Amino acid sequence: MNANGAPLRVEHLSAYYGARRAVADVTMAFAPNAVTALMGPSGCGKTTILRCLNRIHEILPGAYARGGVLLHDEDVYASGMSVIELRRRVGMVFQRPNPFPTLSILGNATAGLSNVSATEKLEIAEKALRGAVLWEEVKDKLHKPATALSGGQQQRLCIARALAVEPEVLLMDEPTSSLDPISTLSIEELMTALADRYAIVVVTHNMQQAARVSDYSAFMLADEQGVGRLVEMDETTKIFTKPSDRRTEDYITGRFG
Amino acid sequence: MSARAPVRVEAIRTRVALRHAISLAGTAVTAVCASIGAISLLVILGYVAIAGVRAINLAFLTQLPVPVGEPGGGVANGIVGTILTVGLATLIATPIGLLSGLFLALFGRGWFPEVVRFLSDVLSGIPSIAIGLFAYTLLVAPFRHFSAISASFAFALLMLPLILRTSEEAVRSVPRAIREGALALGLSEFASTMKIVVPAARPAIITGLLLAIARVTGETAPLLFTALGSQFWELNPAQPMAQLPLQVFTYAISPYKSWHEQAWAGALLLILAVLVLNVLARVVLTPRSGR
Repeated sequence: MNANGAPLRVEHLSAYYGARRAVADVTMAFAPNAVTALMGPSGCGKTTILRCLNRIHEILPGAYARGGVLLHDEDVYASGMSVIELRRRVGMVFQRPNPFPTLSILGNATAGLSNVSATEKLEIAEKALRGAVLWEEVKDKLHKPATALSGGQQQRLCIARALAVEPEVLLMDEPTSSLDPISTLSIEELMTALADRYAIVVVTHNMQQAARVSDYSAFMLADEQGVGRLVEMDETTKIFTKPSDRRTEDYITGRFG
Repeated sequence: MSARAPVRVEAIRTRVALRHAISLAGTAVTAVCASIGAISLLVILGYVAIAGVRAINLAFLTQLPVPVGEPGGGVANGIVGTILTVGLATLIATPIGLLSGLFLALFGRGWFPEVVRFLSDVLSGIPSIAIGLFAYTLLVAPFRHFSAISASFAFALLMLPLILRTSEEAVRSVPRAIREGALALGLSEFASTMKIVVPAARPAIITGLLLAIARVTGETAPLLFTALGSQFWELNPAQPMAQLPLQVFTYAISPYKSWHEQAWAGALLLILAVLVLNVLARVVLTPRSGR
């Protein structure tokens, strides 16, 4: 893939948990208006890479990263970069739905907004909830607690919450791993729809999911020392039909992992 | 002879029976021990209720104490005094305890938080009479004047470690995913703590607060040389003030039968207050479906 025009790039990135190196020397680019899947077996560092992209990795005690993450050629690890600004531009959806338990559905959808009037809030919330294909289900109970929703609805609420701050990139960390097949399907359809407007990076250890939703795929694997490395990255159709690395082929044909 | 010893059904049966017996005995012993705790509470409660309920009436709750020999009279000033003193103590201890707990939960690594935790644990173990003596030395002796505020100070010291540790625990037990969700939205550390994390911990924080209040309601030793007690209506915290536990103490060691009854009634009131606080603490923690 052509690295030019990619809104988000990773260059020689290594990530650490204290003294332990979890990911080494990863370089990849994420295309605009496309879904990129990060896949690989457990412990290959795919989630760690994802968490470096919005610098949520470093909130764990002792965790840090070395190398570059470039958002429109701007190094997000540069000292002048505001983490708050970065996280507004690079939204995130987590493995388990994590709506804020004390807030209503409306409150959750607008939790990332500040200095906005009540009417504006409602407008933005409606737009975000429509974007997450949740509006029709919740429009009559916006003031009900978010925890009253089903798991799939909660996850779509978390997507709406991320969309409300109008990010450029959406990170999704195994967003369907705790959901039933029907909710999974609705989230996957949503990802495809959202790719019209956002660059989406999704971590998954489900190869069928990667094949279904992604335009590009990166395959990662931990080496003998347990350090995650990028094996290869290409168009998803190529990865699944003619992978250039033997290990990718072994993985997608189910020989391990 | 085969490699394996022949299975002796008889021996296995005996062993199983023995295990059953031991298991049964163990269950019985633990059940008896658990019952002793529960039953003693019920016995105390029942005894105090029977002995005290006769003296509880409107006059007891609304009137001032009367001199020995006169019939009737009440402990209204003691009830109000206790509420005022404990209330003031809560006002002192809550902000300090809450903010320290928040500090420990958010920045709880390193030597300083460890020292704070250790000192707080020590403080919670200090006998209340010693805390009272400290309050006396600091706030009573220099002014040569007993006061309710000195009692509130002593109570606040007793409440502080409880509030601190329960609020630390409450904030800590908010799932990491909730805090990460807030940070990932671009909320600042401060905003995510105040808008998302602390509200999620609120029920547990309030529970800890109520239990701390219950802990000092009925505490008597520090009152002896701080609030001192009073026969009169006294609402000024700078003055000696009537206290229900002190009235129970005074009445109980007096030689008069009518005062004994009032002592039981006062004790019953204190137990009921603590009971209500404990029930409230449980209710707060019960999740509600909608709001």
